[in-house]
Amino acid sequence: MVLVATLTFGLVAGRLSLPATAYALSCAGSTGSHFAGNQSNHTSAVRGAKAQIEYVNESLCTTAGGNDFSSYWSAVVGYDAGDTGHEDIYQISVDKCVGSLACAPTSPSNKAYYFWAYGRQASSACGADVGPIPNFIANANTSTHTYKVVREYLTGVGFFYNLYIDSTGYQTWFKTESSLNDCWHGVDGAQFYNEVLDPHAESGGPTANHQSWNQVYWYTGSAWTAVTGASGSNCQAHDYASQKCVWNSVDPSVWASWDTNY
Amino acid sequence: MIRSRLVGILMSTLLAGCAAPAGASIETTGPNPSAESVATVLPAPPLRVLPVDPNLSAVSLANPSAEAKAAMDLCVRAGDTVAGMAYLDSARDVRKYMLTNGNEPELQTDKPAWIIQFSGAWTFRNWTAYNPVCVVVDGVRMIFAPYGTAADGPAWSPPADFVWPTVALPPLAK
Repeated sequence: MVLVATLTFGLVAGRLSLPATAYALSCAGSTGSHFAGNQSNHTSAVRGAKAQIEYVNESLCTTAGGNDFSSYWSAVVGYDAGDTGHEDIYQISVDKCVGSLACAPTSPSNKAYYFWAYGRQASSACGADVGPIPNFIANANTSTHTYKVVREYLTGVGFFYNLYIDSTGYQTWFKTESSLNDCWHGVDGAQFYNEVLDPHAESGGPTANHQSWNQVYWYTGSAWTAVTGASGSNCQAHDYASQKCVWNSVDPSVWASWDTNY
Repeated sequence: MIRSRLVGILMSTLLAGCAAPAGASIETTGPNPSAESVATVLPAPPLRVLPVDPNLSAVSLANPSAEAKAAMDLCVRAGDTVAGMAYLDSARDVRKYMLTNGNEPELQTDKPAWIIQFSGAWTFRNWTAYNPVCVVVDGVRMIFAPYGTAADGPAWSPPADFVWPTVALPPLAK
């Protein structure tokens, strides 16, 4: 098993990274966020999520002065009945944006970057609503990384949720356990998505170079459990017709996402 | 991605010989994710007209301190309308200037905070907040939507224990 793990690491490290697609499309007009990917649901039982996600420098649609984004992430989420805006989320990975209505303050324009975000609904337990606005971590490099949100414990601090890219933790932006468990009324899902706003923003890799999602797990608090799908089946989410997302036909814990517009 | 797919197949072949980890083959079940439609954005209700807290200092728009500018950089985008901004000695005091019950976990600290009150509908991607409030503590930004979001719909009302502020932040000075 050690040999396999070592060999696997070497292969992943040697994988070709995806270049930016050489062209982009004019914006077609957003009808809201659209997703491709999977979500593993376990009511009030999720304590973490992680996935090894291949880097893609996704192309954004091009309309002068337009606003657009494309992102992908690992996240834990809540399913409050009143969470109509799907704000109960704590996420980390890669975002790319253009325009003041799609780029958060401090987000670079038209450049892939690592981000984290946290959001919640208003509640008596946790006060005012918080928007899940991306926070800049660093400009993204072209490597495949494992993006992780996980509950941890520190003596004197107690349980809290931490963010990781590979083995690098970002405790500066930790969230107390209460910020998820109480504010969301439970952590219910591990979410692994591509997201785009406009149908002409690139979601995942281009047709000839799919984005690979590997080693996808959710955490029970004591064990990491693989998220798997049926061979060759579509992912749960593939909202736009151009958003393709299909489970690997050989390995049930791997899927690929790509955009037929590219 | 041909190489990548070959790698994936090779990895799968290699891993296929290993015992599956305990608890594997968990199918994804539960609510089906689906596209989020754009909520109807209504005109933002006007902020209540309140007296400005005389204990707070106005921030200069033309010549802000380095700390104030850092907070602006974290919060304010081109085109945003800032109704007021101030430095607070304690994040716990944010509740004086925002509709809330004061239970925000991030504000249960005596660390100082910068607070910026926006006016109008503040749209970010498919999320629109009415008269949101940006708070910066320890260099970390939070955008609060104490006065509701477009997704909440026109019938939105704050939780019953939320208390309206009685004073306002000073507007930016020239």
